[in-house]
Amino acid sequence: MPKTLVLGIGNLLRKDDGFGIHVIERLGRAKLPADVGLLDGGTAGIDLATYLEGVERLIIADAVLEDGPPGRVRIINAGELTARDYFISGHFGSLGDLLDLAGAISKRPKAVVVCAIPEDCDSYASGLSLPLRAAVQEAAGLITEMIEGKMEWVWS
Amino acid sequence: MKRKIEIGPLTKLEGHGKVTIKLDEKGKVEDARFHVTEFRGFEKFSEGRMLWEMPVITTRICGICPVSHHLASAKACDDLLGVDIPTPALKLRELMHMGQFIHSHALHFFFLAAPDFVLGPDSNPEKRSVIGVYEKNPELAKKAIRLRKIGQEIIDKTGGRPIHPVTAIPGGMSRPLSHEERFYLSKLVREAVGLSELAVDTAYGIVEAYEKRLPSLGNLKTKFMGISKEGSLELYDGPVTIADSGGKKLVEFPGRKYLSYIGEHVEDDSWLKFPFYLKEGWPKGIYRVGPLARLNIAREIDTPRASKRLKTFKELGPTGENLYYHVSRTIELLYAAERAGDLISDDDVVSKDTRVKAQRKAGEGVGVIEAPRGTLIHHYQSDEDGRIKKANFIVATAHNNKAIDMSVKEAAKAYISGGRLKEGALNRIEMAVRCYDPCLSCSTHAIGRMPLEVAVVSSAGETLQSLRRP
Repeated sequence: MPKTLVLGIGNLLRKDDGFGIHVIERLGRAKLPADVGLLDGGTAGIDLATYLEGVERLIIADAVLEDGPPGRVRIINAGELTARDYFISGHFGSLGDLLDLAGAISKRPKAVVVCAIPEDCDSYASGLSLPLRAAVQEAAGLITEMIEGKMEWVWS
Repeated sequence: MKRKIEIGPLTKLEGHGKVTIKLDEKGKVEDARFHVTEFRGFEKFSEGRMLWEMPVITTRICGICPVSHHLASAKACDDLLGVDIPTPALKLRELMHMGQFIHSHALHFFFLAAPDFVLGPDSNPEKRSVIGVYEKNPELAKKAIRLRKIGQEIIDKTGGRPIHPVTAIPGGMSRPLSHEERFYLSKLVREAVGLSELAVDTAYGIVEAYEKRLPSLGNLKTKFMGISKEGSLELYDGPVTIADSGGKKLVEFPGRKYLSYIGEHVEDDSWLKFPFYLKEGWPKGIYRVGPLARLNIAREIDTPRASKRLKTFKELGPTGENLYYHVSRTIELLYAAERAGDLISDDDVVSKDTRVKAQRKAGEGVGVIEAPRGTLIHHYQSDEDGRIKKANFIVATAHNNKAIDMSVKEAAKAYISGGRLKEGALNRIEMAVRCYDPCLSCSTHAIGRMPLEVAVVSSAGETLQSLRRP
């Protein structure tokens, strides 16, 4: 696996829940540096641990429900999210579990989450709601700057 | 005053489920229900999709068993289009399927079920997880992780990409394995066989240790259903058998005729359909699917090591005891590893003859496969443009839903009385449910949801007691 991995999480069938996957698809259209990889992680949850072998820096793209307007993008330091709060899948397993397990298998990556507040994560639909469509662009832009080293981030 | 205990969402299950236990005035269990969230939304979503998109779309239904849906979908497409796929494609699909079994069964056994047993059902719930197992027994955990990785590698190589496979298409497979991929996988599969033997030993160890302590994970008398080929365990393709609680065959039918044998019962407070054997009616016709069902139905297994294990298993006689789901799961794990080895040794997996052309047409098709959790049915109707008019899905957990209710009730009766709720008691009820390896609302992505909560609610809707899971 590459040193830096951008991992999209979510269910593409459940409207804004698939936000992270849309971001990955967007980033896939551009040429990325050699040591950067993209992974559509779907709702595989804790199974993703084996894909983190050798990854040192992990950028997660995902929809995260929190207070604020739908479509607002922000970057969360993975350390801000306590293990039990942030579930990465309808299946068991939180982000904390995933990082712990990755650490047990090889090395625990430093992680940040680039997230957007969803409007609708429950409807069955293959597209995003309006505010989230713009958010894909914004998130992809932020991630690109992070990858290109144009921004300094505090990794946890 | 009647009290209702609600547990859930259940930890260490897939998705979110809720258990409601109704107590009577004396604090004894009156009734129990395992709630599963709806699946109908996906059926509606499928309408209007193009038929050949379905094998790819359906991989997104579930993050843990995308391969099962991928293959059931491709089979339904083949059936609708009236094509027989080339033998190399059959073998490649079955190989992918064995990868799924290795991956899924190892996941369930080591990471969902084992924490209860390795750490003990009364241990600190925060530690009773994957990481807890890892800390208590790192060697076992490492082996489990390795086994799951091998399953993943088989899926990734045969499926064409990580996690969500794309290679099964109407008419066959889009490509064979390369020689390098084949060589790489053949080494991994040998390793998987050894690790699977360890899993079976571990499962028997657990059962022996806990059998006397946990007699009430549920010992039900239900019928069983599963694919079986002339009495042999078969997971990819074959006629479906319904057997009685003793494993004796009652009927056998081709998958596409399932509607003549399986009815669906709907109850008010659950969106999920309750399938049953039509001939016996509801509720007599309740049956279970999954590893326990398959091994009760099978008279033999045609790979040598798993065959030996089946003989030992059969010495118990037919068993309805839920605890034995865990043993049967590991025996299937071993079969899948051996079968994967057989398939990889077959030159067909690198043959270029992997697909036949298929013309779109109006029609109807059914794909039936044994997913790790049990029988999975995809049923599509399309118009002449190849657009889906109607889709019906019966997932393994739906077949088992009523049996899970019954198991919860049986487990609850033994561990809750006088209105006392103990952390260990609640977990034992969850353990009964976990035997079935249920997949609930597998499409739901839990994002920053509330912590787990147990509510004791009176029949008037008043919350009497509230427990928060850490």
